[in-house]
Parts: sequence; structure tokens; C-alpha cells
Amino acid sequence: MKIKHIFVFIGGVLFGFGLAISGMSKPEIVLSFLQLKDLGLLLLLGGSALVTALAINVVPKILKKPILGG
Amino acid sequence: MFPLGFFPYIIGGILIGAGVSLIFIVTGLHATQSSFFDTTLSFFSKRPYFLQKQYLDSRGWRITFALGIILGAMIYTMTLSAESFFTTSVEWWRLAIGGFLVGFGTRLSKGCTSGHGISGLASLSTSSLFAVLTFLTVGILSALVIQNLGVVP
Repeated sequence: MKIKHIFVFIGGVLFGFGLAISGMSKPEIVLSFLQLKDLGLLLLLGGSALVTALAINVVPKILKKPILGG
Repeated sequence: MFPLGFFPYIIGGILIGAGVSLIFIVTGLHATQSSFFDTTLSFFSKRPYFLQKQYLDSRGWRITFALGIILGAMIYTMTLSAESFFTTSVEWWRLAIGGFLVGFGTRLSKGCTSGHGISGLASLSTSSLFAVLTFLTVGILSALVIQNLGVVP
């Protein structure tokens, strides 16, 4: 077990928790998006892409390389 | 438009983004999901396709990531969720056919909702933008056409 895996695991837990809060573990909610009854998936996708965009595009300007060296 | 409100989606999006960001900032990895299928099959298949170095190098952390996702969803269901554990009323064969098509399609397009939709868009990738526009449009059109044919889930 490398230290990298601990952070990957914590990130996965956050991911799964967020996915469950938004109800995307239910096929019914995904379907209600595809039938345009609930556009929440766009907020979910947009929100997560926006947060990740900051991490990918802004953080490397401050940190020269990943904390664990990459 | 938003019968369940904005908050579950916005909070969920921020948490998903935080998870992917944490992994990127600490390890430099792009934590995406559907490549998990390829890399995990490398444990079972001897075909050269599955034995690519990038698959062998990433198969360990991808399993760790998938296990984390399951645990995270379980923690939410056992703590904050109003309804605890649930099952879907969608029939198993529909899930199986849908799962097959999704699996095939994500491998064909080299990414899923998470790979293209989160990491890809966040990396300002044009091909990911086209992938997202394509799968959202085709998904919505298929759902609407099938609904209008009178098929009830």
C-alpha cells in the first residue's frame, strides 16, 4: 500500500459521497435528466468540472509538481 | 426544471470536484472512472491490449479509487440520507443492456461522464467537449424517442 493510494482512496470517498448526495446512484434520477424533467445533472457536471478546472489549471502555477512528486 | 432543488446537485458537484482535485494535486493523477474496466481486465486477460504498460501501472490505484467511491456512497446512505438503502425498480435486463452499451461506448470514446465530463472539460480538452456534447445529446434524444414510443421504465 503506497501513500499515493491513501489519497486516491480519500478522493474516491469524496467522489462517492457527492455522487450519492446528488442521487446519481439511482437510474430513475439519471432518466429524469435524460427526459429533461430534472436538469440537475448539468449543475452536478458543471460544478465538479469547475472545481476540478481550478485544481488542474491554477494550482500547478503555485505548486511546481504534485505534492507526492508525481 | 429542478424538482429536487439545486442544492443536492451543487453540493454533490463540489464534493466530486474536491475528490478529483485532491487526487490531482497530491499525486498528479487524473482520477477518472471507466478506464477501470480496461485496467482491471488486465488481471484476467493475456491479450496485448490489456497488458499495455499504462494499464498495468494504473490498475492498482484505479481499484482503490473505485472502492473509495463505493464506501463514500455507503457512508452517505447510512448517515445523511433520508431514506437509507434502496433498490431500483428498473428491471435487471434493461440495466444489463444499458450497462453493455455504456461500457462499449465509453471504451470506444476513451472516456465516460467522469473522464470526459469532469477531468476532460476541466483540462479544457476539445475532444472531451465534443464527447460530452455527443453523449448528452444522444442520451437525451434516445430517452425522449423511447418515451414517446410509449415505453415505460
